[in-house]
Amino acid sequence: MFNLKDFIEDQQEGEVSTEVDLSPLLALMVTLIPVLLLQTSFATLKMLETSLPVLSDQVQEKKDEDKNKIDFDLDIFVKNDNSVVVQAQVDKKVVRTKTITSNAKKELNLSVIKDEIIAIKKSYPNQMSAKVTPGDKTKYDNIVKLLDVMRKTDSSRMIAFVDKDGKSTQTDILFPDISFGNITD
Amino acid sequence: MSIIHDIVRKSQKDAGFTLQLTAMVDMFTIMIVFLLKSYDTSSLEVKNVDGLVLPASITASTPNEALLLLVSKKGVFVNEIKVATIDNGKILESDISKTDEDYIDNLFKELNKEAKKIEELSKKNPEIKFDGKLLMQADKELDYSILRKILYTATMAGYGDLRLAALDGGG
Repeated sequence: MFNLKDFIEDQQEGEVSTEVDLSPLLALMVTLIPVLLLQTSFATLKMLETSLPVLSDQVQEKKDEDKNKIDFDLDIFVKNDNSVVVQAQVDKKVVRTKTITSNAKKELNLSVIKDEIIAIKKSYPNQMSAKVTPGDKTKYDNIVKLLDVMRKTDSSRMIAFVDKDGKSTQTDILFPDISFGNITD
Repeated sequence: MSIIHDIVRKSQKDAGFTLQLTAMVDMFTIMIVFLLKSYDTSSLEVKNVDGLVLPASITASTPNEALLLLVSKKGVFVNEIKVATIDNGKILESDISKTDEDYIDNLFKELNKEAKKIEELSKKNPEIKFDGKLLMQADKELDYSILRKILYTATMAGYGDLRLAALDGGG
């Protein structure tokens, strides 16, 4: 049992050190740090949600729900030379189409594609879905970059729209519901 | 770990000086806080596979549980089981069906096996349902022609909810 009187006496005689003993804490840290270093992932994994053309009851239900809305289709075709065709259709009639050639480095001209998508979103602010049809030689990295451009704009180029309650609001979301167009062709 | 304790004690007694550990404890405290902050309990992680460099995305969201489909420059893997070989940017012809040039036999079998496992589980526990979620970790240099074959086969196996894995590009 710890005796305070003895402790004070020992301390006065200089037999007990008053310094905090940090070595057990150090031993604990030496154990913890390797364990945490092994468990920690420094590269954060994220995901982009897309859909594949699987016919299911859920898809059919969604289509039935959407009957009252306008029949809007946004198609983006990526050619093997990295040129892109952006085409908007309403009730199966093409209302807007633009061919965007690749940039000087023969890469996707993402800034022009973004401008076009923002222009379409401004005309149809309640629409959320789009279809991407990449070419056979389109690199996966370019597909992901294109999806990034299609899903969201930056805060300096927000889209103004009127919500269901009639209030004017702004959004940075463009067309987040993206599917691949030529999987089953 | 009492060895450290003994060494420190002995050195203090023998040499007659006190080892100043405060600075080291400070450093370790900062390291532990940083490591705990970076610690991720998610079972999804970036697989260290030869020939797999993920693309970066600025709009991607936090991933959730899904069947892992891994496509490197050397092969296609379902839950780390190799189902097809990729050589020189093409899937080997022996892995592709003779009747359908977009259909990968072994990939379909493995995906179907995983789907049946979930269906079996759902018989015992109705809360578990097959939702067709697939998380694809693919190399950023791969052509869409390869991915299209894989996605076509996944569609045939009933996987319609595709999630593309990407590294956080700082969006």
